Amino acid sequence: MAAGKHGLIGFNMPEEYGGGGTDDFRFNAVIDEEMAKAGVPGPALSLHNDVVGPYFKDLSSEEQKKRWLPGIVSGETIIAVAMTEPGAGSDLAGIRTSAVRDGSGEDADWILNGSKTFISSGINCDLVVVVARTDPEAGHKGFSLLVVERDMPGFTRGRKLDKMGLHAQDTSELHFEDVRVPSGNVLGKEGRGFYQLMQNLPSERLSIAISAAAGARETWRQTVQYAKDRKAFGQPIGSFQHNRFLLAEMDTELDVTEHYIDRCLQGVVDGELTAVEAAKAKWWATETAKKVIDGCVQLHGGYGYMMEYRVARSYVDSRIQTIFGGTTEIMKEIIGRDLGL
Amino acid sequence: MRRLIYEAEHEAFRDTVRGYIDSELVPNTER
Repeated sequence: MAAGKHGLIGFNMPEEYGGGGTDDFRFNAVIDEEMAKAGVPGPALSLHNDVVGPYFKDLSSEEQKKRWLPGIVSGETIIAVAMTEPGAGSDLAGIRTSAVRDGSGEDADWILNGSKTFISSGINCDLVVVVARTDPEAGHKGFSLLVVERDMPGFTRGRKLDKMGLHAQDTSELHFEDVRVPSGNVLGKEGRGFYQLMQNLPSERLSIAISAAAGARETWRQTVQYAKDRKAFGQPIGSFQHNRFLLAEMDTELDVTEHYIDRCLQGVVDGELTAVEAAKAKWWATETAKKVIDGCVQLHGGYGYMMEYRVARSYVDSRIQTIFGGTTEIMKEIIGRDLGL
Repeated sequence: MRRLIYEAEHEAFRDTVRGYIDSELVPNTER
């Protein structure tokens, strides 16, 4: 709610529903950078603004917008998207959650069954966009996006998962047992769920890259300071050539990363960012961040292993970045396929 | 390296975000 009052959510939603009416993704990027730099627990602003919010903004009918957007804009309504399943991560074809119509005609309700896992904000969400098979014979054209509301009978939350890092953000299992979902809660067009998911992925992946680079940059800055202050053998540890070279290499790698991210960010602003460019930004920035932060832990010595030090928290919090939103390996598949290989 | 992607309105927004983090999040860090 406080984030809504400060104007940090909903700025990219239509003005008639209380939003700020801007489509400039640089505002999203500023939030991603500052939250990553601060490294403090907080609400999942990136999830709300960059990942789930766009589905509601771009795919809702006017009637759905009136029902859902005011709460999303104010922050009163917490939103989530449920894609991953115990047996289906990167491979959407493995999704088993399904919905069948209870009756004939387009107005018939859907009956939803299945389970999801690794769902960010799963415990606290009021609305969750569930990716479900609505036509088992239609392959990629057989998925739809169903919006499940907090109190719908048959919708239960499973375990709050015990993660390595990011403890302030809940990640959980969700279960759906004969959940009756009105036809008016289908987001976008029936059977277009897969394509609708793909539409938003480039900017979603870029936001992960932005957070990764900003978090690594801040950890690097703090490590430079530590290398100036911490003494060994009578001199600052940063004055040893090996350490000086390490910090110089990290600075260079982060500069190059930021430059490419900024180019991609301009691509989003201009409506030209491709899935391949976003995949390059995502794997490169997150792998660079992993390497830089690991090097910063090493430079802190034993203190780097202590959770009271920011560098240790950065190490565990950032580790997921090469995995969620599409793994490094999937990003390379996207790039490789584009090469015709 | 100076970044050229952001304009004055984005930097003003950055100040707002920092204000929010300082007033709403940092005090709750240990909770």
